[in-house]
Amino acid sequence: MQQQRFERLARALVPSLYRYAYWLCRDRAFAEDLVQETLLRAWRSLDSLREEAAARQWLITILRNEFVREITKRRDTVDIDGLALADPRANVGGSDTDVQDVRRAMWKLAPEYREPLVLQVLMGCTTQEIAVTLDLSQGAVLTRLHRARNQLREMLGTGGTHFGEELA
Amino acid sequence: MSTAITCLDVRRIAGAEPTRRDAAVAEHCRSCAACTAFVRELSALDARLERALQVEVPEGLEARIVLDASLKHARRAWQPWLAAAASTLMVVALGYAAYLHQHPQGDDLASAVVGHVENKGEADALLPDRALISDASLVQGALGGAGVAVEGRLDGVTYAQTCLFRGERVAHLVFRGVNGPVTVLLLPHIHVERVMPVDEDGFHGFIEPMGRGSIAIVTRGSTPMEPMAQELVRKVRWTL
Repeated sequence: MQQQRFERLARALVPSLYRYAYWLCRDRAFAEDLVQETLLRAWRSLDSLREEAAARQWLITILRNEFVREITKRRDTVDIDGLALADPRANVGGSDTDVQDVRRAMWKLAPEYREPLVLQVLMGCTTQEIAVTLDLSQGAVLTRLHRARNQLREMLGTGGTHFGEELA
Repeated sequence: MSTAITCLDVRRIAGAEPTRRDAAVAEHCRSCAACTAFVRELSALDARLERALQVEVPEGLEARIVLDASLKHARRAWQPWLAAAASTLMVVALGYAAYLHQHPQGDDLASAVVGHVENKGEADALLPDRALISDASLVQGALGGAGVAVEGRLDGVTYAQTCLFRGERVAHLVFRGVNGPVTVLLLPHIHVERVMPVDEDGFHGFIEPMGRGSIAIVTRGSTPMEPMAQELVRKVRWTL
């Protein structure tokens, strides 16, 4: 019973969790490890998950905690800055130019702007959920999302103005 | 009640949440071409962003992770049980070894008793012409060394020694019997639940429980041993 529940969750959420992990660490192997550990931890405390609807947010939180834990652990042993810049041409799919341009622009964003955007666009999180995950106020999340898009528009040459930036 | 918002509001809202269906934004955009273009531009940007974020997921990742998690979970779930089982097994094994040491199986103990009696070092104890020990203190000393005391006097003793038997001190006595010598081992550290017969290498006799210890009596002759055993049970006590 528990195994079936776990499998259902895993099959539904592993792809998006892997993508989220990749956008956190920019390393395929690391991303796989993160998802793997996340799912393992999730299974161990699956009983604490009351509603299936909360699973995505629950797993995101576990994965993010695991990422922070791993980064802290690796800080003394590997070059984290190097990791963040690892293999920008890694085979992560999407060969068309526009996709590559947007990805390059995404990697140029500061992590504090990139992550809320990934959570919103990729994971479908609400600003309230992002605020909880990142331990920020909802206002701060709105500001970061707004600034992230403004910077992307500028990098991709689509933005005319930074209208509204002064309010953010 | 009017919910009119400004261009600034629209750009703030759309900039943070382009897909948000906000009635006030929609109302504003109906009369503001610039904001309409802005919202469209951001929606288009989000569509591009959504495509770009869809990095390729390694083939079979879900199945691999499910399998791996299942195995690890199963292993971790079993680990405490296995550890507990191993510990229990170890405790049982050690306990059983200790039990066997203290409560040996009849055949095993009988063989050990006969083996000790036949031991070269003890062999002359069975010589038929051995003299009786007249000095009672010698007997008492041999018994005391094994943690054994006797109330009264033991007659007919031809051999008295404190020996090591299975790592413990025991009292080894030989009595001159009417039909051949009788060997007695007083075993304060070895308990038997019931009387166990001894019948090995020409020796016969029995091992009888006595308090927390036991008494082994064997002979190759035909001296009656029951009366001797009863006398010993009556007189002997363990002091350790």
